Amino acid sequence: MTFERSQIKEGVSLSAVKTNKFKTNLLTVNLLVPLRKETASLNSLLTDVIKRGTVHYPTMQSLNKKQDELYSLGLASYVQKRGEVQAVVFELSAIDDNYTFDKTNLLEQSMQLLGEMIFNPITENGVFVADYVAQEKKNLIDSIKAQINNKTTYAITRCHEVMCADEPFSVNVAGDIDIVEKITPEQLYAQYKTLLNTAAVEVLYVGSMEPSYIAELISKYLPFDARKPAPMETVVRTTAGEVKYHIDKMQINQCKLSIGLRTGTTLKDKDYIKFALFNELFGGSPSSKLFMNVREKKSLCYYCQPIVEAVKGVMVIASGVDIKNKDTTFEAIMEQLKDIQNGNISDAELRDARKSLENFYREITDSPASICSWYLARIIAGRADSPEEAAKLVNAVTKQDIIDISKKLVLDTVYSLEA
Amino acid sequence: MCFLVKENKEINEKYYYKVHKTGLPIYVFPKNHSTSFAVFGTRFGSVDSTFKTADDKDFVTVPDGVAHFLEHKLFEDENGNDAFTRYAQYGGDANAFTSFVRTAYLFSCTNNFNENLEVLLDFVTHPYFTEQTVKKEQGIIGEEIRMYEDNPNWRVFFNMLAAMYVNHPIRRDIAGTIESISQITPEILYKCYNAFYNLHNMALCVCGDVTPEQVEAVCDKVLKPAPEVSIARMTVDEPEHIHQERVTLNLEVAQPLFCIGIKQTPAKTPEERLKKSAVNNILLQLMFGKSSDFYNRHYESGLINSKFSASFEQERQYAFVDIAGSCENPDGVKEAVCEEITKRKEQFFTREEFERTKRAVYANFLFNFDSTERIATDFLTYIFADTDMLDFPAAISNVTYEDAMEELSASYDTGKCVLSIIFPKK
Repeated sequence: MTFERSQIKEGVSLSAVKTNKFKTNLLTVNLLVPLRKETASLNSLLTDVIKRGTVHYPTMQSLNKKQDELYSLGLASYVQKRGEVQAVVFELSAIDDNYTFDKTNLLEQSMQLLGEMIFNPITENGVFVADYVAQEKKNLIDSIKAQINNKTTYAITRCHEVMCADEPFSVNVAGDIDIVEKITPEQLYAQYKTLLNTAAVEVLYVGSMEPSYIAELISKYLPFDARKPAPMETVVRTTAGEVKYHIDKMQINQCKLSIGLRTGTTLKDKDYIKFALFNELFGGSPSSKLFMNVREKKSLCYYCQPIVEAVKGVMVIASGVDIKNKDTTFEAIMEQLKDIQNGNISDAELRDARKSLENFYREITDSPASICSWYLARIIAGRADSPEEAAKLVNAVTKQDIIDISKKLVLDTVYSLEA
Repeated sequence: MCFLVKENKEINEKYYYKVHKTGLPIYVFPKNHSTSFAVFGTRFGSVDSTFKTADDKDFVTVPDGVAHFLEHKLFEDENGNDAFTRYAQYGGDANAFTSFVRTAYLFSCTNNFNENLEVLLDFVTHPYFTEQTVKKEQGIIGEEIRMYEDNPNWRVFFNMLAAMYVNHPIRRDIAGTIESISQITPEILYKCYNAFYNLHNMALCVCGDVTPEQVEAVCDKVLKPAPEVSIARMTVDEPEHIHQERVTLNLEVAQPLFCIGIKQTPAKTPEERLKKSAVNNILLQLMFGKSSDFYNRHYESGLINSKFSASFEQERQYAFVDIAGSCENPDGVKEAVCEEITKRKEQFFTREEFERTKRAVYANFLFNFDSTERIATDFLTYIFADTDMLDFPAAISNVTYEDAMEELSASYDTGKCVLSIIFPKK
């Protein structure tokens, strides 16, 4: 497996991982922009409207039929947030040319269709089709409302919102209902043009082809102009004021407890690996302190897991508990953190955490989606180390490193969703 | 005895197979990935609640949720050690799951494969249950059950099953209820363990950068020969008709969620099962896939949205179609689905549409082979159904236009169609 990063044009880069491991090609075009309330909803809606058709395939059905013909070509578009950066992603997944019946140049045809989706969407009167925009606004609003359906993820998102209320990180990447309602086809098209012309473009590729061939396809089918994108900044807070307590009410059976902390370490930091190992030991695996003590010994919950946003430097410890055990669980979780800060780490715990983290890094190289996700986060944090390189650093982290890094964590918010 | 080799040259995949001297069937799927994956499973799932071994005079019925409870409890040994901790020293990432018809224990690792496999084989073959450990688990699983109670996607699916099936235990939750698991005792767990955790009733599937001989050597070291145990499962007297046409529930959701179920007659032989799976996948893609007339027409009209999906599920004892989504008017969707089925029985698709869809279904299946986890767990599913994953591509290719037409008229009875809805709370 080889990794190669190259500049196609100013502001347009390709990161390619060449490997024969897979039967598929995965390519993502990531348009990176600052996460802002005013534009997040537009970008999110754009990824829905753009799937409705292109100049050559003017209906969703004709586009989907073409994808079927291209061996069930996957074309997706969606938004993500990494710290305070919004990624507008266009994704292509195709089976490798070798597995087509006629050994056709499937990747090239797929790139052509992806290029068409991004650069030649169907329009009327010079803007997006009004009917499509109206329908996708309704669908998007429904799907934003449906975020309450999954109580686990909803309680994590809400904790982030409460914790970072006055920071861009709290912006809902899917969009804001009030803003979506007011979007016009003109406004959306203007944002589309701005995005296409000014966003930082990061193309990621995982598959068997030579990076130079991929670069060629990009020049041919993804004609981005050179640009000087705005720097990708995420404001990191390492201290917290008075602890915020917040309860949302819902008629549910199980209380969702989300504990928000500032980690004091981000992916930009050279010694991020120390934090990663701390996290593994604290709650990242079934041999971690949280799992072994809060779940197994105290039988308080089925899950109890830290969810880390590495670019922003925040952690939410998510758990689902019986409401009568809410305070006990909170105490038990914080006790585990204190335990590490006080240096109570056994040799076995350290060894297990190291093995687990090393394994986690090495497994990333076996999934095209994980590889893409790994490099996207790293590029946003301004680094390019590979999972294998990270795995090699794990053993050098000492107990003292973990203790030192754990002392940077500060409690910010205690959030719960309960009846 | 040597390993037998099965190869599919078209998709460039193969596996090695043998029955280990202890009675355990072993399957090894070489794959040049960093991650190796092993699954050790038994044909014991939530539906196997009434059974009889040679030692029993009559059939015994165990509380709902036992298979899943047993899965949790096997992780603990007599010294109070957790299997997770044993894996941890070798870097193995472990998990387990229980479904309707099977329980599986698995791990993935990028190093120390033999040691991790040893842990897997050892803890699954060494049960240890006491009053105290059972009690502790009731707390953890109780929270798991409560978590699912608040999960609308889970509830809408299980309500659909309960509407479709009259007697079959598939209509009951895999984890059981807080009430049913409170009846579980160490004796019940041992009873189930001794009946179903017999190497002849189990299988080991490994996928990764390992050799068959390596896997066999670990089996030689850990496993003891097992006498064959015969298990009689109570055959459920399940009528062809459905239980209830429409079932609703109110939960904290934003928009109604729905599952439409179409009850089918299960296939009788493994060959038929494989074919049935292939032909139904093609049919559903043709009728309700993203490029279908149905999907696009109703998406444009606003009846459905991109959350709409259709899938086919089957095991030996059951077969059904599950059409799911979220929208304002689930009754309207059901009506449209039934209309479409009726219409397509009269006017089937063109041969060209059929061929294009078949190719898409074939290609889609290939995506599964990029993950060792996917290969190993799916492979076990095929094995327990007495079918073979590597035969599936050919099963898809062999489906004829006429096969598809015939299956549509035989297995899509709109009179066996149920609708489960979760409405928002007022």
